Amino acid sequence: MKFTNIAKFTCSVYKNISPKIVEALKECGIDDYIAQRSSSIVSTDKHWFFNRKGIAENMLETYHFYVPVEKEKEVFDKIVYAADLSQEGRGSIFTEPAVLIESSENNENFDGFNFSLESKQSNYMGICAITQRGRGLALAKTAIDKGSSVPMISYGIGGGIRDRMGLIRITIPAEKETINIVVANHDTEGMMDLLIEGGHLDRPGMGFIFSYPVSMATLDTKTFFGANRAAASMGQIISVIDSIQGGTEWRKRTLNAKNAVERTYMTDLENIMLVCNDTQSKEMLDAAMSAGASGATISNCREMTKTKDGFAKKTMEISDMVIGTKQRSGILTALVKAGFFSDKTDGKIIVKKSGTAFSYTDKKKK
Amino acid sequence: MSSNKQEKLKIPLKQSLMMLLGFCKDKLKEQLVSVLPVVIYLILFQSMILGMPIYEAGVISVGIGLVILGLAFFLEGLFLGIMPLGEILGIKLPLKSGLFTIIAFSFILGFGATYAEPSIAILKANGSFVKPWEAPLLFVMLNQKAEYLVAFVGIGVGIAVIAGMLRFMKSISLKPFILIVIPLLLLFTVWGVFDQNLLYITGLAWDCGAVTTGPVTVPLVLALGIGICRTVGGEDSDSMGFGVVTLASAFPILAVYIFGAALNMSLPEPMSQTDFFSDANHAKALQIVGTEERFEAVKQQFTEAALSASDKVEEAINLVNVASDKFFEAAKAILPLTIFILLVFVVLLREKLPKKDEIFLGIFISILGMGLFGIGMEYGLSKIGTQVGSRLPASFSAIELSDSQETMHNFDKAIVQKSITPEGEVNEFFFKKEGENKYSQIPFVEKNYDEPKKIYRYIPQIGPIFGKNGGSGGYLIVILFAFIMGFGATLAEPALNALGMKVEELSVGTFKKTTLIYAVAFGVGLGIALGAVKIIWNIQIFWMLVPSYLILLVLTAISDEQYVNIGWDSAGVTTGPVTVPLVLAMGLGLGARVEGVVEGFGILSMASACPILAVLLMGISASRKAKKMHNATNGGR
Repeated sequence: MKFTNIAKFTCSVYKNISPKIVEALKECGIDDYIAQRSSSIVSTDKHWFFNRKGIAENMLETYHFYVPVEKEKEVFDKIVYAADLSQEGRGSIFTEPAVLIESSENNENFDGFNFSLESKQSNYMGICAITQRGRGLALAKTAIDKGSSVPMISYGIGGGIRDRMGLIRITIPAEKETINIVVANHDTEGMMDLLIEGGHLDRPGMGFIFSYPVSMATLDTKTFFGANRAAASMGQIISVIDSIQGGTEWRKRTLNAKNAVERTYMTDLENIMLVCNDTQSKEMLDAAMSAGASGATISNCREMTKTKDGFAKKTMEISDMVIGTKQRSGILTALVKAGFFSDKTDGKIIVKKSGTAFSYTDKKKK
Repeated sequence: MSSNKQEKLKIPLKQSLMMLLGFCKDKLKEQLVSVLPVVIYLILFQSMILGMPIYEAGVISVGIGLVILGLAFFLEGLFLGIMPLGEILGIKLPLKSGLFTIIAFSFILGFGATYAEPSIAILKANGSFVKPWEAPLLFVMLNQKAEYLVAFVGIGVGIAVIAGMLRFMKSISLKPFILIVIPLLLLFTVWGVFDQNLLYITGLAWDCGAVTTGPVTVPLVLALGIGICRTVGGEDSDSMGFGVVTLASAFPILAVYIFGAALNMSLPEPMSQTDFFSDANHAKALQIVGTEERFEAVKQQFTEAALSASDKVEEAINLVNVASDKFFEAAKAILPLTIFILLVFVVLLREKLPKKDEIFLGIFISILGMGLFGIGMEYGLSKIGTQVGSRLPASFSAIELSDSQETMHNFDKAIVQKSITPEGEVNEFFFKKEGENKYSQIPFVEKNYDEPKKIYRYIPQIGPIFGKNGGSGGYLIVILFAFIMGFGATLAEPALNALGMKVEELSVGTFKKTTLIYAVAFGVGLGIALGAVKIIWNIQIFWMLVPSYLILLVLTAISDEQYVNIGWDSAGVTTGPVTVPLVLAMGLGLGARVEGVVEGFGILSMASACPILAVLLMGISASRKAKKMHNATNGGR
């Protein structure tokens, strides 16, 4: 078992920009990355027939990769430069501190999973909301209406209690939608409240939301496409003021949900990202769940690995789950025992810190 | 490796039932919404515009209920069992087997799917109605060589599936396939204009293309392609797994044409019936029918058939027979294919089937659904479709309503009276007593009077409802009807639903299922309206097919790969089990009223071409919009 402190990058760009990212990754010497289809929404001019809601959805390509912590800044800058991400309307990139667990020669010989996750102080927090397929749009719209940057939406399949039911499970849709946004630190709580309200996440079975620390970010602020109404867009003006003020602290305001209620957020959490061979996730999640994990979202992706003659494509699955810090060791041990690092599954684990999380809980049960 | 079997969660029966009930309600509602528009439209059209009652309304409504139930079951079965099965095989096949195995598997799948398709049998059954003197080639292909014909179609589909899979593995665009195969098909169609024999197989060839892409094959092949695409292909693989359906529609057409052209070399030109049976041409006739015995059989069939046709007693449809037929058909379409895939999966790939229970349940309910749907079509949708279709011409010409025929006994010719027009034309009529003090005048037609038995058969007439005979108002109504019916029927097509769902999923919601379905439905509506135009004014199919496909070729060349794949695939799925019977009923109804040779074929082929047009145009507009959006900000590097 090999443990490495890494900076985990997430980079979502419009499809026409993606070749530039691939090129930049090669230049940075990154031999191994994961690409995933995703989408974004932006506001547009309304049309009475074709676009009554005034939104446009576009395909994005999301890249997941990691570098040793010390190379974080260098790679970040290179990619932002190569794809010109500092200009709005192209894509977003952010990094998270994480620990990568990989298979090594002696997998059996390790002394538990008792490492600590460090996080840097930064201006940004990520928010991830998981909801039923078809409800993501409303959430994403809420986010951009309240001033977030362009959200990243991806599709997945939920696993959890549903899989433990008999055939009656087919009556519950497993398809999920994941919305990721990155917001200024001080906006996190307000934005989470708004999203909970906008997506009705406080009702049973509607979904789950959590935040996570982000160490570096360049965000796409172009949330409106359409006729220019001013000499500069709001996004451009904001980013100039950001640079004059030296940060986003000046933007601090109160994002208040209409019916703000006291909510109990879960804390002391970690986000575990499992990457393994296609169709293997299910078995692995069974193992994780019997060790106490409550549920996960599985999505498809492709892993590109450098070979002698270019990059080779392999389909993989990403499973994302949020667990309590104390559960980590038990769950990871169960995964290893279930053969997570075997040739058949060929997995990788990325453990990240999580901020707070919220989901509907049955109060009566308490 | 230890298996971590988790404790099963026990759901109380009552709660399970509640969940199941809610689920079924949702699924039925979905299908109700997709089927009802066309039903309501048909009923309104018949009762309001044509002003005629619906016959057998009770049976029809039960039938429509069955269609809705059947569609809901069938689709759920597809999503639960058949499509995941195809997808998982697609994922595993390239990982665990070599190129040869994939080629062999693809061929067997394509070839086998052809034999499982119920419509192929219908095609063969039509062979007995072809007159050997009128269309020698068509006669030979559908009779003596029928088995070869099906084999050729099967080979076409087999090669298409191979080509489709290889395309994914080598990341080849779909465009060259379209730009080469479609012009070839058009060349054959043009050739048909100059060769009478080939002209008659044009319909057969294009129909074979539509027939092979049925409601089971399409979702299965689609899922297989998507699975394979997940595993193979380069980084920039844009196709997502679509395109096989297109090839599986186009290759069989080519195969039929090639087979036909080869046979044609040894066959005589069409001739008249008297020539055919004359001694001088006996050698030629034998070339067509093959043996003396068959020549005699044909002679008997067509001389006696003509005589006995009018006396044919309509066979009572037996519910038990229909039901067992339909369920057998459904099992035949679904079981062999799924068993073959299961065998490949378990025996060849030695894999454990994931979610076994869901997949088996899915296969079971898809058979159940397809069976119920078949019964429902027979009793419901087809029936009302035929009623409206056969009365549709009343909007522009006079038609006889044989359904409301009345027999008058003790009819004495002495009650017939005469009338005269200012031009001096003499007509005969008589009075019929309808109520206490109500009499109506009824025209007397000599041929309906059976003098020895003293029976008069009164067949009411209706129309032209709009304007005079041949009035343009009536035609306009028919064309409008054709458009709305095509639009409505397409919304209910199960294969299109499956395609739409996959498109939405793979494009992460940016290409909505409803957008695709509406675009395709608009296209089909347009195509069917054009088809109606073709029949009303008896336009050569060539003039419709060639220009529209030429436009398609140009649009294909300039469109984005993903829209080309989706657009051409949606053409294959539109000619499905809901649209085809309704369109054919309309085509036959119209055809019977218009002078000249008419087949339903023209409408169906236009119903395939126009949706491609709609999707490609939508794609071009979407791409332009996206480009405009990005250009606004792409001043950068």
